[in-house]
Amino acid sequence: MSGVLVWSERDSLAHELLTFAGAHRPLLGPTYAAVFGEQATARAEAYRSWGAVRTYVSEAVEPTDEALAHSLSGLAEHLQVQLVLLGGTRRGRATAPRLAQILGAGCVSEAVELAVEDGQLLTSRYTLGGNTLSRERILTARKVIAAVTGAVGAEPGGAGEGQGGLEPGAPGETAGEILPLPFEPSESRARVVRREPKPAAGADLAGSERLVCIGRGLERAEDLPLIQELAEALGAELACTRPLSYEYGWLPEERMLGISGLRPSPRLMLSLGVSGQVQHTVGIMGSKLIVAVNREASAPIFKLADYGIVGDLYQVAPRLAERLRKRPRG
Amino acid sequence: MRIVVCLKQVYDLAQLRYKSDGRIPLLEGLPVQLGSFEKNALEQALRFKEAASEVEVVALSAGVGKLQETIKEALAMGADRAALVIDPALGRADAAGTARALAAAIQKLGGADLILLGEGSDDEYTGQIPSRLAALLDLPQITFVRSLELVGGMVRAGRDLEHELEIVECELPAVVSVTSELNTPRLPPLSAILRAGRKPMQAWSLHDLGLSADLVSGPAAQIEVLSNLAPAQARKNVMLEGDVDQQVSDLVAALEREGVLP
Repeated sequence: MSGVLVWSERDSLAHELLTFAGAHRPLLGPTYAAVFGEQATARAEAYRSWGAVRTYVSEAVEPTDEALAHSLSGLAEHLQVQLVLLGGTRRGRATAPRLAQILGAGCVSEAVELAVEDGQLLTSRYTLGGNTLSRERILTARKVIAAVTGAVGAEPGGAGEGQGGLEPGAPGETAGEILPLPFEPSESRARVVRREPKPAAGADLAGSERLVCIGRGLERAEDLPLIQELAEALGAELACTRPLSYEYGWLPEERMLGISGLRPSPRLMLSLGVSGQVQHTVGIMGSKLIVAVNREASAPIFKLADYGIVGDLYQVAPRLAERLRKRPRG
Repeated sequence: MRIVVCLKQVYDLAQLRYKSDGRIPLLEGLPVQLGSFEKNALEQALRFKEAASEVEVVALSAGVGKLQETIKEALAMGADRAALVIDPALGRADAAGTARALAAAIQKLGGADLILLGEGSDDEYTGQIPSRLAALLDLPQITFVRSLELVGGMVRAGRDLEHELEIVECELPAVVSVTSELNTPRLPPLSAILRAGRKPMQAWSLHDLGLSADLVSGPAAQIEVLSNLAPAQARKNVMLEGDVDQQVSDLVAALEREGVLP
């Protein structure tokens, strides 16, 4: 067995994983990719420049965990790959263990770091509710890993490593073939009957230098402009904890920080009305400087803060915004 | 119909302490409790039971020590009975091993029409059990579900993904994993807590299920944990004192010094 099969419904994440696989070709072998769903053939074009020796396409694979796992296991067997790398989106994280079960493979379903050390593939994932980072090695000959954005340390299209750094294929090998799936995808017993896109954030939190993160201390959605004004004065993007996004729907998920959301690394994280549950703080620990404002002096967020203010965000936010607006720049 | 809810006994992480270096978690003696995502799954099962006649809700768990005590909370919430797999080997099992034990237990129960689980456990959070269990039992699966209906012999689920909501349907039997947004689990009244001990509870060993320890851990282990440490954190922990104007003014000065302002 040799080779890596890469799939994610999110093309940019698949490209990251292809970059990683390509960089470790001597250990992992040739890199293959699968592209399913709408516009699969058109989307597959880009995969060639990310180093996929062969990209298999099908528009007929139902996007359910079961159907994805069956098509990917079929391809893994067909290609006799040792590793299937999936994007660590919810869809990928749910598909990976089913695929692993079919293949008899060990699986890490939410790797936040993926690295090769001493000729071994190592993963890290958060465990104990996000309190600890578990470094693990998969013992089975065949492995399945779902890795989140940034886990391989490559940002496709970003500065530094990127499109220019990687050539498709290797000398002597046919570079960048696009082929149909070599079998009929099996039927899915579950059916997707409707899909509704969530409103897009249109924001790039991962690339922001400053973030203002709001938690349950904000009492009403109507008070959001107060925070937006502060974010504007600070030149920051707005972020939030899980309840504000999933539970209340006040802000889109693209702005949610935590174990189930984004884990960006801004220079400044200004945290307002956030208690500091570990499921959230996992998402802010990469920040260079953390400032916390909370009414409760005992809030765990203060343990993580470089600067803390015990106070009411409704008093602090407008005053801070005003001071920042009046500040001479440059 | 029979609904099996898979529940995990998890560490109470609010009480987690570390060795003096602050990075090595101390798990020995840490209290255990019923996992939170699983309570959302159980709550949904109980609502189905209340809305229709002839629904049996079985609380299923695989693990070690204290499990009989922990599962009583599920019985107090309203599960009809508990089925447990208790074996020292399960204490060392990874997701594949645990899924194997749960699948064998469900077969021993005579199958299920609907199997409900949380999206992941509070402590391990591998999130692998629902998918592995569905594969082992050759059942369809719907994961990350935040709304769920039974419609005839079908489930219709609202699946919560990062950028979209999907409505997914499938015939029963099926495996469904739920998110914490699905519902608010009930708190059992004292009278139900007192009665919980009288509800039926079966406990099997791996041997009773036709499995051996070697099939769930030890040689069956698929993952080796090299280290498990709290990430190193060095923060300044400076608290800004005074009235709110003083605090804000000190903060702006600090942010200037740190060079993080635009």
